[in-house]
Amino acid sequence: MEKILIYFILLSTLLVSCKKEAALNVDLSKSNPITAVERPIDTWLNTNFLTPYNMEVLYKFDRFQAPIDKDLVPVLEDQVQPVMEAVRDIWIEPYLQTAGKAFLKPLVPKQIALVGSAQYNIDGSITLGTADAGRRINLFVVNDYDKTNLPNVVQMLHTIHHEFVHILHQNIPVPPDYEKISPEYVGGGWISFSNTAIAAKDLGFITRYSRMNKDEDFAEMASFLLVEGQDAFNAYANTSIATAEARLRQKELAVVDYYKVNYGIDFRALQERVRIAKETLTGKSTPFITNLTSGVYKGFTVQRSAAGQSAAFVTAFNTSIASVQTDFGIPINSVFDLDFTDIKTNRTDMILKLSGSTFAFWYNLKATIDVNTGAVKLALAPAGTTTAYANGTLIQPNIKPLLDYLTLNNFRADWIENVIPGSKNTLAGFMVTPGGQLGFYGTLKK
Amino acid sequence: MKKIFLIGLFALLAMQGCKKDETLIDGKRPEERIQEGLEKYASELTGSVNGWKGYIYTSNIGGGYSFYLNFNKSNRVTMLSDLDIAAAETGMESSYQIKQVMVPTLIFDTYSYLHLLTDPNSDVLGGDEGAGFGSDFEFEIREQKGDTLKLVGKKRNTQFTLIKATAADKAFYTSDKYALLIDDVANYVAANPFLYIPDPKNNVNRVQVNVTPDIYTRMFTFTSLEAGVIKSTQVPFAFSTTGIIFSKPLEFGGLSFTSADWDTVSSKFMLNTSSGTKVEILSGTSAAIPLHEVMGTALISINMPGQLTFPGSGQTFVSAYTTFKNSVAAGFSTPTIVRDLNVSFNAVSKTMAISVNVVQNTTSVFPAVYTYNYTKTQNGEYRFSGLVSTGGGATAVLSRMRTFILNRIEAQTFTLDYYNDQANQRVLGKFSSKETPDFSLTGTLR
Repeated sequence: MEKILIYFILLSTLLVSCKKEAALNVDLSKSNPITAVERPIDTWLNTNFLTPYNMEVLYKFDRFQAPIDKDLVPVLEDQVQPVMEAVRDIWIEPYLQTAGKAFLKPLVPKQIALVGSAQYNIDGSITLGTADAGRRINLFVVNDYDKTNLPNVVQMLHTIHHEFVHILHQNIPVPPDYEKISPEYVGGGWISFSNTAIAAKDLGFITRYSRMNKDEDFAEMASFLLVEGQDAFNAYANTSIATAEARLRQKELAVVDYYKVNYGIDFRALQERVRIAKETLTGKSTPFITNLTSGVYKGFTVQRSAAGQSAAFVTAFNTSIASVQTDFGIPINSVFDLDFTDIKTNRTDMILKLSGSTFAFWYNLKATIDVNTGAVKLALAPAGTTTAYANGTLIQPNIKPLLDYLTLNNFRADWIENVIPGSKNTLAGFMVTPGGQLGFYGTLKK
Repeated sequence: MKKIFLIGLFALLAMQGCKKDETLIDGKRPEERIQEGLEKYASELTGSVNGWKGYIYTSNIGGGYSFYLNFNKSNRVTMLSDLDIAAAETGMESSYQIKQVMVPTLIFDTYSYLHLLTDPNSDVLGGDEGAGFGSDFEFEIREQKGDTLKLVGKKRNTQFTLIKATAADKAFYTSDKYALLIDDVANYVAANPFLYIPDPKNNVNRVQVNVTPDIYTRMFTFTSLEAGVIKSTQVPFAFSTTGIIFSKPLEFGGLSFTSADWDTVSSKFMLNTSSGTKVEILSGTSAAIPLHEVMGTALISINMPGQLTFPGSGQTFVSAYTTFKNSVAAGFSTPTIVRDLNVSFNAVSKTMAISVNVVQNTTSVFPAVYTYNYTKTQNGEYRFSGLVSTGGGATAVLSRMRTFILNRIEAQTFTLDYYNDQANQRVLGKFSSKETPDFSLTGTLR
């Protein structure tokens, strides 16, 4: 009884003590009032990010958004809109169009914090972006952004795509098989001098940073495929050693699968939208000659009868095959290949591959290419030792008009959109210089 | 009895628990006091009709810098700065906030001139990579004394002093006088490299004066020779409305120098002391203190950063150095260059070291250091002997170094002097052979 009484008293004491009659009388609006007046840039950010996506863009420096031990600077105000336009056009819009609002809205980070400079780390590396818990993305080097500078835009967009891929895999993990493709992860040691770009490439990593861990590797792969683009990826893979190329292709498929299986996203369509957005925003695309010399294409397939081939080229070709027909009775096919000998070694040694009946007729050519002007000069090189070369040598006098056409002319290689509209990325031609008229063209082999 | 005691105890607890009276400092709630503090400083800053003069002194490198700031009520600040002529002429507008971060804090939260000093990208204004000049843009407001606000940087404890500007100050900053002052002083010190004042103690000896308005080394220095010992004392300065102002009084010869007024009419400096005495800075035709007296103590080396020689180097040396560099470049299978020639003296151990960096593959740096003992006559003639080679590259390039440079160092007599490189507005150090005057090198003094 006594005990019950005591417990009762104890209970009532607690009840009385805990009783709170009024709301906490603190006026938080007075605690750290925001007095800044809304400016056009704030309105623009609200219209483009806060209202549609519930994303807050923090462009005014706040020490608590960034590492406290680093020397950083705020953004130049004039840089905010250009950077965020790129973010909207090249990151949000392509995802929105490909995957829709239902996918994007729950996943977009709720805050993007902008920092003017890079974050300089103790190990000598610099950080261009960070993603925190899928909720905030920090974008650095905003003050250096220049939308007319393609590599600069690529770097900035690579960063934000990279960070968004982190958010994706933080929601649905990367399949465990992925890290078995290139198991040579070294963690923070990626910055080591021994992890050169070549060393990383030979192991099938898309960048040095990819060697950090599987998540960074995956984010690097996906953002490289999206932002640097398929062409740049092909060039990288084509010029890698065979084992590394196989690994890169496997990872490429893993990325495409991951998007399809986990989020139902057509990665290829997304990739294409990013490419178009990038070219629209910057008004620039990678020149054909850069693609050609960096290893995007393995060669050309040229069809003599295709519309638009020049009269001089067709004549040289026809004269040559007529002569072979007369002397050897072999009908040379009207389709021939002009291939790189070994795209991994160099992008100058080429083979002209003619065929007819059951025979192949090959000629080695050496291309001298000026990457700035696109000028291409072809010259005959010593023949190889296989039968195809012996065949080639046998009919070389008959083929002379075609070989002369190829080796005596000066060419400039480029897209031929002005001749065949919409042919960019599939057809490329050799313009005769001076004059610039199309000499011949072919389908690009990828 | 026991019961009564217990009941009494709980009753007491219950009463205590109900107690709702607050103890408030100054009778105000925390958020009210916070808001009061913020409003007080906000109205101070925005209330100064003529704006504010600001002085900041950096901690890593550099010296002092002045700013002219106007704060408005909608959180915008416009500033001018003496960082360069353009910044002194053209105002830059950015955002600021006054926030409670432990104490009332003034944050310049978008980029302006002030942030150039903290920019970790050394391509922006120079400064250390990753750290800038060592400065701040988030300041605690520590105290107010009359028209002066004392601010302390949150990250690096940088002192930032804001002083209410007068109408005359405003007229000075908003005219072209601010930029003219900076330009005039730079031209004056370039044209008059050998400034001095008579020694305040005896009016006989000369005290060397160095005014270096360059943003990387914005310092005012006195150097005197007392009984064969060099004494040097320096202080950072910033440009003020009347000339230059020191970060703190510079004690010298029993006087306490606080600033120097620039006379725009007669183009000269008049030093001010705390006691009101004025001392005119005079211009001499030669250094008040010969370089050999200072070398090894106040100054330690003549440097040629990079691969090129500096203006004023003799032709015999230029040819010898070029031949040496070419010989090294041709002598290794890995791409190798020689750079950063440096002649340094140590007056204590009486040694002179001539050193270069041997760089392979552009990244691996091997220093090559050749140290000699020296003897010096009263009038500064050096003889060198007793070569010791140290550093990773020393042995590899020794024989070539000997042939082209060291043989002469060992055989001949050398002297040191100043070289006035007027075209580049700087004074260099010159190290030359007495027997072959054309074998001479110049470089920046450190």
